[in-house]
Amino acid sequence: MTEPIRELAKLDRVVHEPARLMILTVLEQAGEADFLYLQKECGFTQGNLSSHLGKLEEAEYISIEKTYKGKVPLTVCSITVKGRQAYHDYRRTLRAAFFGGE
Amino acid sequence: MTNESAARRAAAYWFSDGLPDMIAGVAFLAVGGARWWEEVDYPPWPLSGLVTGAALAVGALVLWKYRAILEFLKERLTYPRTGYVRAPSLTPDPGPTVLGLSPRTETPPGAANASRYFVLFTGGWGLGACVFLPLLGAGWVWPIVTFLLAGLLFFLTRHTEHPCDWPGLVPLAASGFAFVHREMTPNGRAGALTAVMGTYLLVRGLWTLALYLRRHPRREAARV
Repeated sequence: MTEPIRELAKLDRVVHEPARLMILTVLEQAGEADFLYLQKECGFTQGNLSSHLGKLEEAEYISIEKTYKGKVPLTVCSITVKGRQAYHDYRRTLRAAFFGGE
Repeated sequence: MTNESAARRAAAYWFSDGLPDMIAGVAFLAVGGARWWEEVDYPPWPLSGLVTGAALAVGALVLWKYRAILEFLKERLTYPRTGYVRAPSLTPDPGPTVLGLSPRTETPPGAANASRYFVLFTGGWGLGACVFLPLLGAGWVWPIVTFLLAGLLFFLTRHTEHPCDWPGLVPLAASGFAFVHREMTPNGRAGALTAVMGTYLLVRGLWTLALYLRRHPRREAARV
């Protein structure tokens, strides 16, 4: 087994879960989005999304801020530097395993 | 879901309610309408100067405060219905990234600049065309100008997150025939074409907004 393949065993399990990968992908590209947008974009139920956001927040990959836009209460999620790094590391590991490194 | 599609969908979402079109349309219509009114208002109405001055001020104010007005309306219409995502032009440049798992490295196409693209190319080009093309003069040029305007809008926006679909551009292309037999000064022609452009954007925005409101009835914003 080559080294990049072995690296797959060290994949970050927080990022590796498909639902959380979807959330991180959206946030990595959009910068920040609120709960409702993420729910519609990724097709989650409220409970499911809450649970995954909680895990990502616990890992400090995203930050969640309850704020107001005008009079509308919004739960705005944004990706942190640590989250962006974890996301890029995850992609780099997969790429190295599939295509043979950088 | 690829990176590209996530970024482009976030950028396209910004235009899904029709508000960016509507606000630009109001500004174009106010500025163009004021200039055209100066042309057709003969003998001049006593308050004409005041009205055209006010319309020009409204147009300039709307263009100047474009983003603030847009945010104000989105806070009341869009965010409670379909949620909030950061405006595309405020998104930091993600730099070189990988599309899916392909080894090829590319920058996502223009997603981060969607709203800037819209304002500069759709709006800016339209305004530029409205000022220069009518200087050609003769009435028969009008249909050509509006046809070119429609064609260029289609061409410039076809790969963006906010493309102008061709059925919607047909009335804009055909609007030139309404001016074939009108004698106008260059100032009046520029005003009329700006107003035509503004009307197109306003109608397009209203239509998009009507569809959006029908698809997304108001509901309470979800919380974690």
